[in-house]
Amino acid sequence: MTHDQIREMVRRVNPIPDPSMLEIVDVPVLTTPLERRTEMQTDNRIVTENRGQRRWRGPIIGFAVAAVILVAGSIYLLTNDDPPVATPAPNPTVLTPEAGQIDPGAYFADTDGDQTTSLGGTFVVEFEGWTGMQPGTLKSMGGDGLDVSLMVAEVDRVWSPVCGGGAPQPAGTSAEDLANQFAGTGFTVQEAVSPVSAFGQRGYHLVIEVPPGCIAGDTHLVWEGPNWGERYYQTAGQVVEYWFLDVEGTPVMVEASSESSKADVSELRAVIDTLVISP
Amino acid sequence: MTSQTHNRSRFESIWREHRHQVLAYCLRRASSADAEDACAETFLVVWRRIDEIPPAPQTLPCLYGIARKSLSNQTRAFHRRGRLQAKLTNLGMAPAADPMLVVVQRADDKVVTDAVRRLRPVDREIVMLDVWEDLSRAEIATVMGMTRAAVDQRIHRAYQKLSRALEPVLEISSLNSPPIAEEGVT
Repeated sequence: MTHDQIREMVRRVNPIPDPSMLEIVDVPVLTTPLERRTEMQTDNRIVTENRGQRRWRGPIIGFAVAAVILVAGSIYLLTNDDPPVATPAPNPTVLTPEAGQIDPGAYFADTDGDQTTSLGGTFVVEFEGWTGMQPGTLKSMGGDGLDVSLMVAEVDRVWSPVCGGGAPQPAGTSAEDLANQFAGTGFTVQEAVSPVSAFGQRGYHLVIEVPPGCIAGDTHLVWEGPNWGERYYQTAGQVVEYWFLDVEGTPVMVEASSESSKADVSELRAVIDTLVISP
Repeated sequence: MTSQTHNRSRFESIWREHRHQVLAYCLRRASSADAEDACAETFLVVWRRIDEIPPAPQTLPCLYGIARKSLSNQTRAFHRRGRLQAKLTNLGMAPAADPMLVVVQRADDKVVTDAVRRLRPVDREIVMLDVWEDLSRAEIATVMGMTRAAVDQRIHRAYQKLSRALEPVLEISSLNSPPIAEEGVT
């Protein structure tokens, strides 16, 4: 069987053989670009599960522990330049926009959507019902519009200030710059930027929340990435947890969010626990 | 001409030249409502990132790349509509069928459609870009973010699978039509 024969047979089932026959309205209105968003939302559960316990600790003990951790962490970070060792799951499947529902297994999220480069995150999904989303994965909870998700991406531009429209700004060129940039977008900072080791890399951790009054029936474009990646959210009270990692000089963002039940959050946590970022 | 005026002029030019192709691309892969949303989303990104849109002949592959991403985002919206769809089905008002199913008018067309559908998602997308969007291998590589060699390899593999699946259809068809000149698929 020849290429031409196959092409002809596939061409015959083209549902739109002649695009010029389509009727389309005139040039769209360009003055209100931020409209109609379907995006993930989070709640506090993902980052606040253990906070109740912390409230009961005495201030002196808390201060002492924090001081010890701060000093020890600073010494460790200053004296050890090697990234923490982490081994990604073997033979992951590369996620693409066409991935759709994924079976349990190991997956690779390409941070820039360019398969000719190797930087990305490998993680394992052990549960049913997850969907592959380049660059990451999410699980939607039936028809309730609730989902949990994990994104692993590079960032080109950050919109700021997010509350009130905003405008795109070039993304910070280091993990620390990027973390501080996200912290300054106008969202309420729940947990300030702090050094962290995660997913086999060093970087910075940040938790933000959308303040009341920020959203007026609209959602916000927060970041844009290479290969047309982007992220819209949020609703007031929504919380998103970030890790900004320095991967051999390239800042990589890991973004976790949830608006679903505790069981689903535990699945997300299990997925995050397997994540390894590699250059 | 100010930058803003230039950008608007360029956007309108891209819109006029490629809107049908982008909408067709989306309609070939999604329901009518989702396709329209994804098409609008695509041109929203074009407007916002007009400085990053390459000039012709790279413009259209670039637009397909954005549309591909926009359709992926529609998947998320699809999940959110699950409950509504269930209700509509119970009322006997099922939503529009998948466009690929709509076009099936003959038994052998169904065999072809099924064979394409059974390809791996990425291979299927490459075949559709090759045949339906009529892109060159280099343009397909641009849309998919792959090397040209990777596209060649995947097309070769996809056509081998299609060849095996479509052989019976060809045998039936050949009884009523003249043979086509050979060109190698091993």
